[in-house]
Amino acid sequence: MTEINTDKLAEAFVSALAIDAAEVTDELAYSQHPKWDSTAHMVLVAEIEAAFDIMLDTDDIIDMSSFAKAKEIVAKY
Amino acid sequence: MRKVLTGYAIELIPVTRENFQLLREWRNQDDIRAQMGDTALISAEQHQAWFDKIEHSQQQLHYIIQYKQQLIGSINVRSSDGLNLTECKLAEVGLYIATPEYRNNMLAFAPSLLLNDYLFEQLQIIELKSKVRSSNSAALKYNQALGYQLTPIADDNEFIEISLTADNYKKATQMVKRLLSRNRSN
Repeated sequence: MTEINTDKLAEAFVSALAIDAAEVTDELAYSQHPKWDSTAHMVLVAEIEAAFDIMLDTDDIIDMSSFAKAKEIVAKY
Repeated sequence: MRKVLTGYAIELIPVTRENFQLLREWRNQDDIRAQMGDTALISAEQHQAWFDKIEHSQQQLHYIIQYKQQLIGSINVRSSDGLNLTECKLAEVGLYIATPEYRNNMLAFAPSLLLNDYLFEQLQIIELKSKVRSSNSAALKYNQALGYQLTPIADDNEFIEISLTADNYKKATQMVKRLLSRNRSN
């Protein structure tokens, strides 16, 4: 697993979910934050793909249910 | 008509004599029962009688949702105009995700996408219509994301009518369909 630029990933979350940077912690989770719904999730996928120049697989899009999980997933690519 | 449907990372497996008991377990879970029109517990006898009635019905189809070899919930469709599903124009879809981790997840869209594609494209159904508890904001939001329009029901504050045409469905689901139709990693 490669190390990823966590700041860049956090920026993608801030932009896609329209939240404050302080809210981006490992505990930030899909549907537990009012702004991380299905629409925001789709924007988030696009932001992450553009930031890291990757294309996520469907299973990873489904599994990406928290910021902590997103770090693991992006590190695989 | 009773065949496995595959797509969007899942399979919809028809309910059969071999697997139908699982539906009673799920349906009687407190969290699922609370969102049903009839919230009463289902007895083994009632469940058997229900299965005997729907097993060969041409007016309803019931599926179990499978993701990565795990059975995670159920989806069904019933004709609403008294005709067989192959001829009907108006139908009602019902869904529940029994596995909590997939309830608030993109995966929850997959069974609706797979079944709705089949209903609109193969069976040529014109409109899907059903009722959702007004208090179930997650379900209302979910259905709106699929393109459903919400209509309050006169003299009924407990439920809201939701309806979906093929056009509205197609417009609302282009992005989510693309995301759930990519390569699989595991």
